[in-house]
Amino acid sequence: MNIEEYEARLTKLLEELPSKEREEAVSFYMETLADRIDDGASEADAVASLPTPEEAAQAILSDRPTNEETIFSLTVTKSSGISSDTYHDDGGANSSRGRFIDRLRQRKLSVLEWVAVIVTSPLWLSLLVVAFAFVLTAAIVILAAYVIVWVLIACVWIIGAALVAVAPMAFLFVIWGLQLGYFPYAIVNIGYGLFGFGAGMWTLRGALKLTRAFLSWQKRNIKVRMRRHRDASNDEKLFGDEDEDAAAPVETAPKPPSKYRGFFRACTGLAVAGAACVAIGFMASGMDWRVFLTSLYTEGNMYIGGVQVDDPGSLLFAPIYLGH
Amino acid sequence: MDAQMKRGFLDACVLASMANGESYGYQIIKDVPDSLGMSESTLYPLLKRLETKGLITVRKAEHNGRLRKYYSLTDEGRETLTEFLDSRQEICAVLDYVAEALGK
Repeated sequence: MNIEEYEARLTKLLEELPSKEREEAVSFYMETLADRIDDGASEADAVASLPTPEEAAQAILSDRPTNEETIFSLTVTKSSGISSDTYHDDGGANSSRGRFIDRLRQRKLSVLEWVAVIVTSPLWLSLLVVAFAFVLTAAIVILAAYVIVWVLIACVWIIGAALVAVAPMAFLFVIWGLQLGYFPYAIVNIGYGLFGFGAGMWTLRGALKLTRAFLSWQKRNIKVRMRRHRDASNDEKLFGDEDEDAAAPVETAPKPPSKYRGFFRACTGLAVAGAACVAIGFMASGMDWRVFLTSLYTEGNMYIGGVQVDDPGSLLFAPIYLGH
Repeated sequence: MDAQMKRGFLDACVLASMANGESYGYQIIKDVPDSLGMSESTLYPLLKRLETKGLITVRKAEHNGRLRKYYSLTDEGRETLTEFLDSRQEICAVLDYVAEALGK
């Protein structure tokens, strides 16, 4: 007998087991078989050194807790014809429930029961649809909440990036202000740049923190769920992805704020300095609120700080459309 | 050795085979003393029983491009093993009694 024949025979003999249990048992035999071959045995020798598939199947089946008094026992089919009453084991505390479910699974419905199932279908089908709708709604709500959190976090990133992007723009306006000799406007725009950069970096850093915090929350949550699931059923333990346990990292909280306090302080300082510049520029303009404005194109004209630019094309890095 | 007597010893020997770190099916079969006649068909149900009782844990890991299950002792398993060893004197006393009765 070669490996394939052994595997096929054993699988056939274990037909009555739930597929999970059967695969597990067969894979155990296949594992030692492979180990014997790795150890230097030929395939034939390795197969010969194992118990015969019949012995193996009998050992597996007889060790399964069976209780002939269960109400469904009469309808359970024993397809392999192997007697399973040689040796009964306690099999652990949780087996009787599992046994019950196994039997339910293997049980075949009688004609009368099929008729009952079909006759009552308008009732249970509609109930099933309602239940399904509930589950679907819950799933969608949860998914939506999840998506919303990510969208909010993305918004924080975008706001941060937009604020930082103000800086180069404002820098350009400063150059134009200086070039045209309108100093209050230049000062206000220095303020814009400083404020945008400071507040933007602060926001980006905050967005990073938020992202990490949510990711770690997510990780923790999913882990907990898996573990609960695994505890729920014993079989799951053998089939679940155990490697995960080894890799399970100790939960790392987001970095302590002290490390970044300097960064946040610098950002706040820049933003405050920026705001101060804006205020100074506003004063210097004689409280003219138009000093805050830049209009690249209003009815064919360009205004900076409320002052019309006579020849926009002469400005450094002048926008192309303002050229001659 | 008589089959009934073997059963008690087998549990202890399988647990003992993991006492110095995790082990796997074939290794356990090789490690357990030959006199107990350990085979796959004995080991498989036994491992399942020990796991159900929480005396061992199982993990899967890749070996030579296939999956292999590794078994290791839990604290409870280690405790059970220690308790087994504590019964050494009792076992010896029984054997002594039988030997004495036979006059050997």
